[in-house]
Amino acid sequence: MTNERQPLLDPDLADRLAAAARSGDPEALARLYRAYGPALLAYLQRLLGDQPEAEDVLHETWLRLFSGRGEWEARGRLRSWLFTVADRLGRDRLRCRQRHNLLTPRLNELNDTLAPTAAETPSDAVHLRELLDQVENVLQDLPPAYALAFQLRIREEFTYAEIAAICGEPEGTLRSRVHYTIKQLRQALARSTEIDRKKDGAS
Amino acid sequence: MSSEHPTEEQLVAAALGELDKTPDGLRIEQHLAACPRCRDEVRELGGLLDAARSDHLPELPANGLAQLQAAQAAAQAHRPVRRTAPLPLLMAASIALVMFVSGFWSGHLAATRHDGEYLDSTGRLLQGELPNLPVLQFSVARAESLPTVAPPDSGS
Repeated sequence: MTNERQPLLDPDLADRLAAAARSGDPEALARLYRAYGPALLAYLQRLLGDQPEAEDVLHETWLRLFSGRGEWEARGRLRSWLFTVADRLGRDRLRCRQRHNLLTPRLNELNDTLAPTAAETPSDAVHLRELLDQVENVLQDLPPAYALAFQLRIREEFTYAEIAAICGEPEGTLRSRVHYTIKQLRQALARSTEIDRKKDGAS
Repeated sequence: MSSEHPTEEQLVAAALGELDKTPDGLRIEQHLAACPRCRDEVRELGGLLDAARSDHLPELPANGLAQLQAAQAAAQAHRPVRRTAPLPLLMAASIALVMFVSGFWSGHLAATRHDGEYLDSTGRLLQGELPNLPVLQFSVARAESLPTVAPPDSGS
């Protein structure tokens, strides 16, 4: 099951709802959770590559909103604050996994600058669903750092400055990752179009 | 063609709306206005990005919101209850403290008085009766219960 992407909440409204949620208003919390939860979960799934752990960190992220530590302040926009917290908590999990040798080079992959070539993704149609699958395939094959930067820039439409604040990487690095990902997508699409053409020619 | 074709990097920047007003950015904009082939490429990239944007997001965990709302309610319960009128209480407490301290102080001063002279709270030597203030009267009562202090000019 998946969710349609909702239009973004007005940032001022979101900040007011956040203040209300902090004072105990369950409806304000529900509105924010429904508006931002799915995108945060998508981000965390990509970061952690594990569904239950991503849900766990999602929960933890929201708890920070009304924890007594007062970490959230109105001067920071709620949406980028949530992504910042999710990113930090997610990376803590990865570090923890690494300490316990529960795997994986995933945390190191986050710092990779070398991107593998995109997988061959033959497709026999250019329907949106298939195009999306293709996008997903390409993102899966890239180091997570690339897919994460792409997700924040293209899907969440954050500026590079905001993304830099969220994941603590220089803007230039993020920009080249986003561009690289787009080029990989374009090549994958071109390859599949080529395959289509050959198939059409053969039949 | 007025200028050479932009690099792929620059076309991607154009599709992302990242061209700035630098001479380079302006040159690419001009080129795109004049070159249908590059415009098509930017449009194609734009379509790709639109497709990438229209992805479907994961479903939230079934009981996620309920758990958060429970935690929200618990956080409220543990937050210290705000008093409805903390200021008057604080004021009353501070007035009581001032009265206690000044009463003690003037009691001490009153203990040193003699022949109608006394020191006020600023240390000035005054003559006559003590002002009829409850604090001072209380202090005088305390002072009279203390041993008498010899006047300074009667000492030998």
